[in-house]
Amino acid sequence: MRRGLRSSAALFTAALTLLAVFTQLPASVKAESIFNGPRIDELLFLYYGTPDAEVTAIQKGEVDAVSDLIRPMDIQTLSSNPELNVTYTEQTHYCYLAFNLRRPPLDQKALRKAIAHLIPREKISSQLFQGLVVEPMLYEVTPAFGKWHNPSVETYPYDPREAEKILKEAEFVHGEGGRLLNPDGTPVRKLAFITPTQEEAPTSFEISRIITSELKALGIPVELETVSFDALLTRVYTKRDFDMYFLCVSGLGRYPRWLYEFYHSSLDVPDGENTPGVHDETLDRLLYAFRFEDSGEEEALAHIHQAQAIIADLAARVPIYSRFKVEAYRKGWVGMINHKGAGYFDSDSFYTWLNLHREDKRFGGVFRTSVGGKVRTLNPLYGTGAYESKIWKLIYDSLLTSNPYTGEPMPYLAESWEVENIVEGDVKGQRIIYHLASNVTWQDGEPFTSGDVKFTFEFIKKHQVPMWLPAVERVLKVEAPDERTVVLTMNGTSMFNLIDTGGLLILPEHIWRNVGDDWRSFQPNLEKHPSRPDLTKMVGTGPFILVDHKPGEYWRLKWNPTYFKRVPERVEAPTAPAISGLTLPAVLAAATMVGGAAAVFAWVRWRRRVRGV
Amino acid sequence: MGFKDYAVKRSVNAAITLTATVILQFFIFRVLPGNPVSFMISPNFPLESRVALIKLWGLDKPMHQQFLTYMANIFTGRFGLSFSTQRPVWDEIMERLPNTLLLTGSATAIYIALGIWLGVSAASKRGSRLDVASVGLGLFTQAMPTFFLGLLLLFFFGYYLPIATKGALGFPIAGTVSRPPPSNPIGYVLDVLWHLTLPLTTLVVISFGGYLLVIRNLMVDALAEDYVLMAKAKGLKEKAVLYRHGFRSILPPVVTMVGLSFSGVIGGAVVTETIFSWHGLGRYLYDAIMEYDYPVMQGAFFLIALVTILGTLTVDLIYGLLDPRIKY
Repeated sequence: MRRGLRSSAALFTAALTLLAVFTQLPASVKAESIFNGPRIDELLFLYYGTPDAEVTAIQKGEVDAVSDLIRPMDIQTLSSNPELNVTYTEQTHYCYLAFNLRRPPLDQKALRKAIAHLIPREKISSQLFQGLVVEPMLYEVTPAFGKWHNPSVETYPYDPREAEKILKEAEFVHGEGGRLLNPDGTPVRKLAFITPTQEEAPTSFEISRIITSELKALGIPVELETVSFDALLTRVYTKRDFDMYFLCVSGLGRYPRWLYEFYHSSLDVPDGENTPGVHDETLDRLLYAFRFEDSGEEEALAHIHQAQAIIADLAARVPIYSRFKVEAYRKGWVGMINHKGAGYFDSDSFYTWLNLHREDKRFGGVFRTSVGGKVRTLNPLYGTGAYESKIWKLIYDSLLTSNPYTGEPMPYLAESWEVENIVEGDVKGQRIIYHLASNVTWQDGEPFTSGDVKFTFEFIKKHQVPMWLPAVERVLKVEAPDERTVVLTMNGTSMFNLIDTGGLLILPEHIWRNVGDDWRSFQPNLEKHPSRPDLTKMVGTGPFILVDHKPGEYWRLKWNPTYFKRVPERVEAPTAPAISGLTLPAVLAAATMVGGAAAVFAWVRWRRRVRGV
Repeated sequence: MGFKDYAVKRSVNAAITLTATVILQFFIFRVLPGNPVSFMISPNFPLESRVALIKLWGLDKPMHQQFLTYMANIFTGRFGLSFSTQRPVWDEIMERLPNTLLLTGSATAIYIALGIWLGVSAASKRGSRLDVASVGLGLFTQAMPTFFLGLLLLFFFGYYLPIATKGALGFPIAGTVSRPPPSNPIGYVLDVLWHLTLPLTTLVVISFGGYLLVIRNLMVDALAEDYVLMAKAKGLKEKAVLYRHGFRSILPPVVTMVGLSFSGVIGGAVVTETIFSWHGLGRYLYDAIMEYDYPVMQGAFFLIALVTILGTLTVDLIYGLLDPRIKY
């Protein structure tokens, strides 16, 4: 009773505090929705070739944010800068140790589980990452996946005694010199642990070395075999010639769909991702159902949780750590939103770019950020890497977006949708009906219609665009009964049908219809718009317009005043402050160079004249 | 054998070498371990996407067909489409070539001139403080790793100097121009020069030592020759003795060094371009190798081979002009 009263009092106090804070906010801020924007005038993505240059740039004030910091010393440096904030976000990334289940002795589960208990995750984290960059991880589907993460699976914390116990129970014994013997009394053969060279991947090499010494301490014969990174990939993916290896994966998306690629027996083929060679009928059934059949979230959750339990018990891959997304930004900027599993300034952090603004200004300003790496191409059908996506995802839109806090699908170009299961002949499928928003126009003023959506699906399917195949491969038919409605007939009843089709970027038919077979070499950012001299062919429906860029240098985006989710009160004309590269330092430097050269030349001439040479 | 026969023979040799290089590089890249698909596709993608990508790149075709396509691409001068970007390799090379020529070309010209001048000066005053200092400096800078000097210049002139002078002085840390660049042409040129300063300085400092040491040693030997003594005895000015008699006699090996430097001009300077985020060919080629971008590797290596072979051929042909004693 007393505890109940105390809780009620605490809740009441918290509510009063929130009310007090809220009433003191300006009216404009109170009404602000995070789903409208953008609030800045310009966004400038800059390329830096090295982390050193990137860190120097933010320290110097050249950029306002950097993403993907991975070196502990950079994080320490930036954390000690009072002008910067450093953030850590759990992301869908992990590093693991994998076993080859195809050949003895690692075909024995007990041996794999024993080895799994010999990975000193805390030591790896503290020694190699100063406890800053990574989080020791016991789960393959990390907690960053939210409800898709099953916390009740078997885990393998560092425990050499437990490892010894497992081996003993499986009748492995220690022979002469402490060497491990198989249950039949024969010595366990030497395991080949392949790892990249120290020069090429020092961290991976060091982790492999630490694990090797732990295994040797328990009498498990293992040899660290250093190979080039490319040779490692060939041996793992193509030839399957290994006993153990260490690798990391990232960019795993919001759902643990990669488990199908990693563990379904049909993917144990050359270049398939099932590198350990897992063949388990129950697991196959669960993963297939999760990936292609489950139409309801409850069903999908049940299946993937069961699958995770089986995967953990198999111990074919042992998770070691997950890397945090570490980002830094300049104080004075507000409105960033931490997107679940992605962070603040990632290509998936869409709502950050809508809401970002100066603390003291509701609208306006230029935000400069490092793009993070090489931007290959701005053709959105081909350039789907992390860095180029940062740019084009602000120009092109999709039918649905995801809630930044939960990852759940949300209305966007489609303001509502309906999904129904259907049976057509022998095929079980789905019909997805998208109802499009009515106030959307392309950045060149053309209206956005269901014809654009139909065109995009059919174009990608016709040309078998590899990067977008997952979104269209199960689409059987696309119809556009009216300007605002799109009806998709899908093969299969998976809940991912909605997520995949809703996530496809939509292209303007009036620009792309003449592209045809040249789609892959089409560079919309390099071609002039047919009717708008101020634009290129890179026109979308998104919050920003590409106004200027220099490949390999910078990409300059301006807010789109015709954006359909524009903040209603933002009526002022876009103000693009002139940014001159020729600053005083440039003039002084050039003058110093010219003056210095002239002085040296004059001195040499004078010296020769004096000497009479 | 006359000059004409010699020139024809050398040209045929050069053509054979180029053909062999073109053929070999196709196979060498393909037998290297590694898979270009793994650099483009994340584990989230289904196997169908990988298969479609391999088909798109033409890697599903038999090797002889791939080879014919490759040869056609080389002879049409387009070099095919980059795996990484799907843009014509030629367009991508042309986008970067001016930056690379500006950086490595100007650096090469400066460090050769500096190396020659310091080398000749040091040799002419053998054992003096100038000689000892030049040799010491040459050894020191030549032994210095490029990344170390580059980062040192970047931090000092790009970061600490602007802070110390409150922005009045300093150099940019990245790029070939300001981002965005000035709109007026004079401002643009000055801006490019401003951005060029640190990478150019890095390359010159790292490279001039090699020339200095070689030329100094060659000159020391040359200056001990009888004809130089004769020239001095005739009362010629020091400059004339050094350059018209001493330096002229060492020109063939110097020209060989200069000729071989041409490939470096085209190939770019990977480390310097990376440190200063210079949008050039060196970094482009490095990324292509890392990503198994066969069309880019083939196109870029073809150009480097072509320039190297042409450089060597030119050097061979002008030997006779430099040294009248050479007979064909």
